[in-house]
Amino acid sequence: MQHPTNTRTIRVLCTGQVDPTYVLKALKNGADGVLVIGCRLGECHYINGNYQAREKIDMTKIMLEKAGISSKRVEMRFISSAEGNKYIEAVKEFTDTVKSVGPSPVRSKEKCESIKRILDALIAAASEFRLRAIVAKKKKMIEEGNVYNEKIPQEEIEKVIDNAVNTEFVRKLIVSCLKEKPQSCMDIADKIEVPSALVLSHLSYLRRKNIIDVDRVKERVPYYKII
Amino acid sequence: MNELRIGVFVCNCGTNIGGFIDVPAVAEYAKTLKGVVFAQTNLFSCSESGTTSIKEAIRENNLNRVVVAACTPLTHEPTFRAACMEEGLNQFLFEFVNIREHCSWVHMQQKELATEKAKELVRMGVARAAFLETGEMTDVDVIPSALVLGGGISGITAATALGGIGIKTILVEKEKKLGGILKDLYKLYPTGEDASKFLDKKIKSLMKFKNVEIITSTEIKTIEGYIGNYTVTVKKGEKEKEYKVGSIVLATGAVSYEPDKSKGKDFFNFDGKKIISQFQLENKLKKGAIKEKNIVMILCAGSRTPERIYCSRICCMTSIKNALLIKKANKDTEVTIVYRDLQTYGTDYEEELRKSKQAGIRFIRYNEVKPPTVDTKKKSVMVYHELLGRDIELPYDLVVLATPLVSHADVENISQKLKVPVDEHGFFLEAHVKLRPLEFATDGIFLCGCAHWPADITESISQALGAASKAAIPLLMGKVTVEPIISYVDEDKCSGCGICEENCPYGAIKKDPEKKKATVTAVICKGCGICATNCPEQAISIKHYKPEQVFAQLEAAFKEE
Repeated sequence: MQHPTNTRTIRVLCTGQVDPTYVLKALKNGADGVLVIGCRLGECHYINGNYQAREKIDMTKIMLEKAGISSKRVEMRFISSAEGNKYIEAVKEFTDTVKSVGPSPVRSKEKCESIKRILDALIAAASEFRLRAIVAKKKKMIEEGNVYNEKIPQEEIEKVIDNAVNTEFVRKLIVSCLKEKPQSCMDIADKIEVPSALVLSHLSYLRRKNIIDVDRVKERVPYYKII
Repeated sequence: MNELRIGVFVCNCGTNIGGFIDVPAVAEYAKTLKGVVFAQTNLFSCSESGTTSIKEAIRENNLNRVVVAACTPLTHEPTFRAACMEEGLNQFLFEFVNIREHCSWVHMQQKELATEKAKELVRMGVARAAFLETGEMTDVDVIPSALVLGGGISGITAATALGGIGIKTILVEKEKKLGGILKDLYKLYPTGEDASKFLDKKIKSLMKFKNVEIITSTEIKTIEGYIGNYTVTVKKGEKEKEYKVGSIVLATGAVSYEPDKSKGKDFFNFDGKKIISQFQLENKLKKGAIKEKNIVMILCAGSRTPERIYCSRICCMTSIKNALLIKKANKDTEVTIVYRDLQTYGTDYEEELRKSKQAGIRFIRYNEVKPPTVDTKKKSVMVYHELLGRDIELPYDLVVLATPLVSHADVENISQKLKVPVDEHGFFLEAHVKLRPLEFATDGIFLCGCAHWPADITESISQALGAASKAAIPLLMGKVTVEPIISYVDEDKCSGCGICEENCPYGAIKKDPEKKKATVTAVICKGCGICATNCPEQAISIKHYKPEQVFAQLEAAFKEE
């Protein structure tokens, strides 16, 4: 029972307490990959923590893909504490997978700055009420229905999550840009590589929410700042 | 707490860690970490001298955090927490770093890389230690009844013992009748007692206890809960019934290895007729006298091989006992025992060996490199005699193979239901052979008999009594202490959305109708953290596993100081 030396273990009581922000922080700190290991499905020591974790990890993978980071860097496995050999296999396989994706861009000099900003935006998005609430409600919406007793089909709620991830991620990117200095819509659109029309709609939302405001208007172009 | 004063203790664990990791280098490295004021190595941190030196260091250096880099918290966390408490340091200010299971054992061929990893694991532990907070244990009530799984000699003994203590006990057996392997045995060593009479006696003394409920032809459907509060659902045919118990004794036993007849060629030409297993011989003896005149017994048949490396422990004595019985019944019968090694430990068993030699039973040792072969044409067993330096031929009418005890086919199923581990051969693993024998790492579940390891009747009984006593402890105490590692709500952040209540699998967190804030019922909360990851406001965290504690580890994992 031997495996590569490149894993660093963090003990949690149940994968149910692995927050997407934990995974994203690990990546931001320079981890090449994050492997979340919980009990076998149906055999959770804490009843259903591993199912809960799977939802969160699925969302995290969607977030990474949106941000142009390979979702292969994050994986969840279901192994019982009695299956040491499977754990060893999982670590070996995941190491190979991550090697094929390559070293973390966080550790490359050119990409470090931009990738950290992206991951910060993802962490902020994963901390956002709306996104967390939708994922937390997902199971109930599918199985029991919403407050009007309407059961929501899985594809539909996944679409909603997808959308919410996108929206929150772009908003957080905009906020992180404005934190550096006041900028115009075009400046931001260029920097985060998002169509300016979309940036503009997010800017008006953020302004309505009193998160940003107009700093100045120069040659009829408004510059925005963080409040 | 004001200034951080962290002490780091790096354990050699004999050579378990020290043999594969440069332990002094790890301790030296620890001294350079922020907040660390003391670091040392221990040969065995868990030993009396190890804990004494930890306590001394806490006292002399006024430590307010203790980090031990050693093995798994499953075995020794209580040891080191106790050491901290004895010095007046709150036990939750102790941090365990695993550099054995997570490092030395899994990187045995890579000393340098393993040492680097150990340093980083210690760095992560020290970073986490800085954020640890004190906590207090709470008491939880216990359901004062026990479940015994398996109605062989171990299960019967355990249930009788528990019954005798006055504990309400449920004994579950999957077969129609109690007795397990014992049902099929002839006579027992070293007393020569009749197995079925002995079993009857045992069952009778069990039946005396009205507080023991015996349910046969029954299997376990589900087991849920934790020490003091297990909910067990059993299934008898289509009928299901639920029991609430405080502790569980696992005594599911083992089975005798029966070789596949179609593959007999590869297994001493086993055919189940003239070449039989020791277990079959027991049945044969039970039915009447043995008529065969030349009997050859081959020991270690199928055990201590690369496929099944363990010693089955019971076969030497079973073979000697049966050989003696045959010889006593008819002294003209030739009985030869072909053995690899003989394990007849203790006075009584050695006496049996002496008697068997006196009775004229022949013993011939074989070498594993040249194991005996059974020639069915010549009707003889060929053995390479080491002292003579040549093959000798032993004519036979009956060959008896001492096959080992092996685990049940459904052992994996039981292991998953109880969430307790088994080894590669399907035998259950206790928490620690010496420190926590008969216990599982999971609190409230205990182990005895052949489910653990091949054991004879005497040993199974002793183990069953031990397991029953251990299982009775929490039941008689009436309370178990529960760690304060539970969910905690920051009411300023809580918006009262109620998502935590919807998702809590235990019903431990509820929205207070007056305050409109989430509140946690400490005793019910298990600390799984589902509420925390689902909380849209990030208002909930798990004590001892708070985000800042996890983040400290995450940062230290990838950052050089």
